[in-house]
Amino acid sequence: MLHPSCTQHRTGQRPLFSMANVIQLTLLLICCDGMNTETSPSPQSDPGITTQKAVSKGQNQVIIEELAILTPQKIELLCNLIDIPNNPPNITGYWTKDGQEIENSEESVNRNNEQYILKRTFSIEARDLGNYSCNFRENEAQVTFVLDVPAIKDTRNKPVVSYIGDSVVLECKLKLKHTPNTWNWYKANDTEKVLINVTANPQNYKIVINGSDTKLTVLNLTEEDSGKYICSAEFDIKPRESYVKLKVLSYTEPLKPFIAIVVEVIVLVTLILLWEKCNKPQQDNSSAGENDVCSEQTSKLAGDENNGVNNTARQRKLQP
Amino acid sequence: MAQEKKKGGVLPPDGGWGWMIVAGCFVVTVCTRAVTRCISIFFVEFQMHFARDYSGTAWIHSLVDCTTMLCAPLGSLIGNRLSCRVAVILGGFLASIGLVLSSFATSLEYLYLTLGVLTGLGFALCYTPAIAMVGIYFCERKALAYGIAMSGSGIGTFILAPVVQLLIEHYSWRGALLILGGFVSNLCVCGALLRPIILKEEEACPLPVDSECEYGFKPPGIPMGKAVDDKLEVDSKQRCLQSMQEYHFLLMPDFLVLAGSFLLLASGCSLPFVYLVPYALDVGIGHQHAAFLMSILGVIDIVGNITFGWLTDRRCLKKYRNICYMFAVGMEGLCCLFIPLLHTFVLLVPFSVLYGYFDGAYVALIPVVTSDVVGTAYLSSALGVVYFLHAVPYLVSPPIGGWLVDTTGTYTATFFLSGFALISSSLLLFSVAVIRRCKRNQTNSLSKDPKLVSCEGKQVDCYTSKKKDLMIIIPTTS
Repeated sequence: MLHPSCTQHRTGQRPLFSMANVIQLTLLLICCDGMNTETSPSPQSDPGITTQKAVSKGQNQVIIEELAILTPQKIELLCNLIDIPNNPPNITGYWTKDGQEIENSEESVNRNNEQYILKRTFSIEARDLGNYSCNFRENEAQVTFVLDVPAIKDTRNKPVVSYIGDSVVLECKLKLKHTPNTWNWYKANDTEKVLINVTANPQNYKIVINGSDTKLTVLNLTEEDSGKYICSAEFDIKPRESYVKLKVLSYTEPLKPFIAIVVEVIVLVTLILLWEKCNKPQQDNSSAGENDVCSEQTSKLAGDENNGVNNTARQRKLQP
Repeated sequence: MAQEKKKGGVLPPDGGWGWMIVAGCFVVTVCTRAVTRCISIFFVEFQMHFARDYSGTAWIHSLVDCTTMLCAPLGSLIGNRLSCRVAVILGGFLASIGLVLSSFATSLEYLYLTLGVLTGLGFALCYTPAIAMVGIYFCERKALAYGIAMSGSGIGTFILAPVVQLLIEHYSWRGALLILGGFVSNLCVCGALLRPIILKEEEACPLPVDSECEYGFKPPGIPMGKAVDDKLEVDSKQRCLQSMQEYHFLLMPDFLVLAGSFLLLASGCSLPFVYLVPYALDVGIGHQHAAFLMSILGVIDIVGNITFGWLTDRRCLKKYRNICYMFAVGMEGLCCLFIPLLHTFVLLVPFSVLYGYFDGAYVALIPVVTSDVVGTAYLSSALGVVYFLHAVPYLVSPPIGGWLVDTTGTYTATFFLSGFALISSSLLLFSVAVIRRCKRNQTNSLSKDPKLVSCEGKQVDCYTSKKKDLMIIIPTTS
């Protein structure tokens, strides 16, 4: 039961905490996640802090919290541990980054109304993004904060298919609604990527940017346009990249199955009509396949005496 | 009464080539109904390519459905005038041309025309004649034949949906439409299978013109002793006669009641299909489970088609076919009324099962009930009118349901609307049947109730009534 209500900005932390054993945890959330879009590179001196409480029950719970970082900033991460057995006056806590213990991060936490609060301020630049965990020597509880740039939605693993002379739209969308500074599109040529410049090439490319998603329209496709297209969301701290594969086919590709099916249809229709024609002489109704109306009538009226009798009988009835 | 000889006319085969007709109708249902449903898979691609939103692309589906149903009478007209075979082949040709042309689309409006109008028209030309042919070829096992034939839409959707998805992935929507156009041209094969048949004592679709032949129309070479002028005069009047004769079932009170009940039915039956998934998501069921509910609905629909068709063909139930139909529709309506009580996935599964079963049941019985009322001679035209009556409620009721959801904030009103429409459709038929039975018991006149007469007798019965009408009209022309 988390209540993330982050109205905060810069320096903030979202401490989460879980107890390995049968102990209740109170989670204090001080959050600052990248929901707001104001970005300026220098950290503020006076952070406003919002606190949130959440309670987590259960054993061996590993809590992972993702924070989206858009700009280089200072973040205070806070972990709150409650209700451990024996209630010692103090416990030792330390921080790890990506599994490695951070030097000099170990500190002693004093008990405060049955709570133990471990907090630390981190200065985050591009190279500092990663998984930060708070741990305690006396306890197996652990909370991990994943600090990273916002991720791009994986649309499909299969390539986008289009045809020579046609146009195609490639799209990249962020998972959550963050707005990058801008989006850039690159075409990957073996090892290097070439920036797509719309102003230099307006007949072939069009880029539309809509906040958290972007669309690249490639016009007048040719075979060479096949390949990998990389979309890059530029954030202050680090760009986030993803790619879309494009495959350009010629019209003959779908034409082959189409022609195969049409040939099959023509063959079947001819066979069925021929078979019917061949079987007709064996039946009483000797009519050709095409002109059903007239030939059926002819056969009926001219064929049997009985029908003739019926006809004349009816004719007699009708003529007054 | 004419001598009962089989030459020049046969009893409904109830088998033999009839099963090929059923197979043909099955494929027609696959190519028309299932392909219509699969068109919605293309919407995401269209939205991306033409940069339009959902409502712009949803028009395509509405157009196809609307054109298919509205032009159903045209299909039956062509089936009557020319031949069911010609109608289906022509329809298949039109539909596949429509799909092939849409693969070259440059704008959404172009798609409205090729995919919406042209393909829809092609489907309309195929649908009614094929279904009518099944009714002509079967008598004893009509309901089973229809059940198998109509299960094509369910089975077709089940198989086509992933196939279309695969085609889009490999060839993009243009190539997929092209290949789908090729697939739909199999309608021509089905058309070739629809061998015309002349039924004993009764001229059935596709050759009612025969009846004119018997009554004075002279094909060349048959000496009948009349002048050419007379023949021409007779000719033109026969045409008028033919149209009047073809549609005179519209004045039958039985048919009018049936038409009214179909209108109510069509208003109610499409709503649960459209709103089940949104309702499930609304009460908190996950996406996967909601999609699973729809799959259950689809699969049980197929089961309902075939089993209910087989059931109502049993001798004991055949007399009560109308009652079975009313029961199926009424049960569907009842299921809808229980929706507000069903809040969890576990509770909605039985709803899906029951609703799907009875939905399949009544779909298989519509042509059967219609042919019971109008007879085999007019089945084609009657089916055209029946599906025409389905068109407008199909189109109008989902938006009305949506409006109800928006104004009341819950889905209860929509499902209640659907339930009441279905129940009133069933009650209308039921009350008329009760009234008629009371009247018949009172007057004790000659019963024209097809329920009580065997298949062969029924043919004779229908013929007798038709002949009497013709005898009244024809003397004025000679």
